[in-house]
Amino acid sequence: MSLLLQCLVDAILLGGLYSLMAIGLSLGFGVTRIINFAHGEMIMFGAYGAYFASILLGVDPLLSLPVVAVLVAAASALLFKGLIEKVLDAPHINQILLLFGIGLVLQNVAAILWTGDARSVSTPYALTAFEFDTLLVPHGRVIAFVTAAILIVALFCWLHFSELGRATRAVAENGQAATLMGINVSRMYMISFGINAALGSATGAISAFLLTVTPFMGFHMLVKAFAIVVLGGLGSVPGTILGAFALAFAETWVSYYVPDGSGWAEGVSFVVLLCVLIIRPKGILGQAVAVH
Amino acid sequence: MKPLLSLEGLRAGYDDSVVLEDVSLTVNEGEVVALLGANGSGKTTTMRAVTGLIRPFDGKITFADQDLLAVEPHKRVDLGIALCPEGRQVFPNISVEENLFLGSFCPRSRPSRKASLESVYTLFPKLAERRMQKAGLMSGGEQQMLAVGRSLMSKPRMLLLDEPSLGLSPKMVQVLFGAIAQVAKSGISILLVEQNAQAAFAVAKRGYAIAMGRVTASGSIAELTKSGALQSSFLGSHNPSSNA
Amino acid sequence: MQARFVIYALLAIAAILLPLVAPPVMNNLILRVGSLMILAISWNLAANAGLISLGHSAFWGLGSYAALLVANRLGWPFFASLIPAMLIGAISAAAIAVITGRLRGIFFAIAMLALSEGLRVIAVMTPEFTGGGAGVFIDQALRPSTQTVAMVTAACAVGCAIIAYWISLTPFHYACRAMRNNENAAEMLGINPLRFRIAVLSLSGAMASLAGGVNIWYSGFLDPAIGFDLHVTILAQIAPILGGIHTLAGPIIGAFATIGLSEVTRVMVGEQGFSLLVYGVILVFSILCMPKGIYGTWLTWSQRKRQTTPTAPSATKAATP
Repeated sequence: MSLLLQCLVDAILLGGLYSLMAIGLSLGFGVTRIINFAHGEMIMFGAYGAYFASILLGVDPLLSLPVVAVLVAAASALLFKGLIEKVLDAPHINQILLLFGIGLVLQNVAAILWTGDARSVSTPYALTAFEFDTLLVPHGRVIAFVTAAILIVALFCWLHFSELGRATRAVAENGQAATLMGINVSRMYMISFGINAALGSATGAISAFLLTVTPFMGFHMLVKAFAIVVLGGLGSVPGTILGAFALAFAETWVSYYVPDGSGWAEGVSFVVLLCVLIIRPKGILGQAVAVH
Repeated sequence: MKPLLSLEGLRAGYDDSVVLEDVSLTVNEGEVVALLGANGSGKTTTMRAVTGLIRPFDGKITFADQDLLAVEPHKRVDLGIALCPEGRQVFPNISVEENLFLGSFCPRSRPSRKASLESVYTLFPKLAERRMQKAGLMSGGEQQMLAVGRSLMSKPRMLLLDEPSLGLSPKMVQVLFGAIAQVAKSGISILLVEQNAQAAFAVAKRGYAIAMGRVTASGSIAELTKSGALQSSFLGSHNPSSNA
Repeated sequence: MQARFVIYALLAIAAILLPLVAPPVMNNLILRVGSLMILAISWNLAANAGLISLGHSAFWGLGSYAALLVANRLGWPFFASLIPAMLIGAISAAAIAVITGRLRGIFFAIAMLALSEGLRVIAVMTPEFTGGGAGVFIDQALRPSTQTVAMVTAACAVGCAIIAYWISLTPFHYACRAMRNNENAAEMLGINPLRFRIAVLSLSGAMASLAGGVNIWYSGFLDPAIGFDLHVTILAQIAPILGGIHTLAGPIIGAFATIGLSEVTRVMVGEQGFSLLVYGVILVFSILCMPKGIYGTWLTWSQRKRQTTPTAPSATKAATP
């Protein structure tokens, strides 16, 4: 019983992080119809940003998060304007391969600059925990969950109550009609790409004190994020959150109840992905998926 | 009097196919002008060229003494041009009220958003009833009201209406054109594309007949009906293959 | 036309016999170019039908493991081991084709990416079967000389090129192109998209697995990170894109160009990370500035030149390769 409770708590805390990890990917697809295969690298840069802020300046990852997010957002927006915008109307294959190539470049630039060594940030809350009887709730994970929740709520409010957020949703639904409203669609693409990258980098900044930071961490997270967005339905924000929690539960359950579970848990995202593709390719709440 | 909108020798189309060969027309301040023609004659392409959704190959578009082709598409709304597109194109998963808010996205119309919203709700009380509903869940007629209302939210000087009666019941057409007449009375210039000539004649003073990408006749509605130019523009289309 | 075929045939035979006369150091190069050629042809074949694979290492790894397992467990020799390698590639590719169904484009790409990751996890987690993360050596007693492996690789590469050429002569080729452009329209022409996808992908998977199967006999050692290496996936897509996607010659030219570039960076910088970085830059550059690849760009350029210089009418005869 206590194991089950621990499993549930862990899964919920992980689900928060996964939601933040995948939401930018999903939203980005909804708006630009381009899958950001370099999203993992945005996460990775966020993690390194937080790491260096902590090592060099002694700044807590939570404090450096906003700065890191803004920097990554600005850099990503430039990247979009400079390279990605050119393939918006190109065939899928060009879009996929360009983004994949950008991810590859970023990953290896990081590997060359900072070596492949695994690093981690130590914070005062990294090793402490709330203890309720046998239940152990690490402070770091709670803080990560709360941060993720705040950012997601902020994103939701931006999308629904701000002029630009509303315009973003309009562009996602019908770009041409949005132009007729006087919305500069290509600028909205750039803004949303930047915001999605910022969400990715925030995930990285949080991960810096939960996981190890390596140049290749983004790729593994990307596969998980894919499983989540395919599960939830590409482009759907509530679907993404649902998918994130579903994957978190599945992974946590496997690592608790299956022999050698923590190793197998890494493969759960793959199984989930295949199952969704077989059973319900539109995802749980999906509607935005174009089959072509 | 100088016209508000004028097209001169417009040649436009998609990729390699030319839809508009040579279109020239003018709309004066406060005037309602009908653009009539058969399917594929180039009416929608004309509208798209004016709003900037396509870039013409050749020709001139002037709006309020300004060269419109030098203005980016999204900035044309700010100048006072609003298109209510063919097939409505409301944002289906966004609420009615937010659709209307989006209509007043441009900086010029944003300050008077509240007042515009009130006047749209007065014009179409049905929309006020449905304000929290997702636009995609409404009937075709209601969506058309929303599309017209949305384009009015930008406080246009010139309203372009592309086939507003398309797919609507006769009763709904009546309601809609009643509202359009009211809009016209408020002084907004209207360029109206219609296949339903009868409905168009009820509000328009002047018209252009267009066939195969060229203006074939123009004049007051009375002149057009008398000369038989309309019949030929609707029936005389020799190329049923074109489908713009 | 006849003369060209003779030249190609002689070149192919020369390539296969090259390991017999070349210095042993060349074997490594022949093996790498040959394997990459097979991978590139395989990848291009799938791309021709609109299927963009971001996980060709899955087939490569499956082929490697299949060859290794039948050798170590059943004592199968080099040549025999390549048959199960190809089979498992074909079967798994057919399964993926069925599973991804109508979903193409990004979904197929994502599914392939996840497949190679999933297989890597499985290989790590089943040590009694695969040797796990520690890896496993192939039975040394069964290993042929590197010369033999290099010759077989060259022969396989030639074989794959012939298959690709043969496909380009059959209506199959037009069906693929129709599917790439518009699957619904293809369906109306009487093409069964699912059957074609299964056929194309099985062939593609078998080729990539064959390359993996041959390579394990050369390297002698396999672990999940090597078998399902992202590197293979990247190489498989870079070569055809650099050479010229959707063309016959593209993957072949691309294989030479890619290995050439990686040798140059290896000599000049000498670090692993740099070669991957260079691949990434090539990918970005090719897509943005040269989407038709070397061969496609050359074709366009030479056609334009031919059009502008009407004084050389004899050149037009060689227009169709």
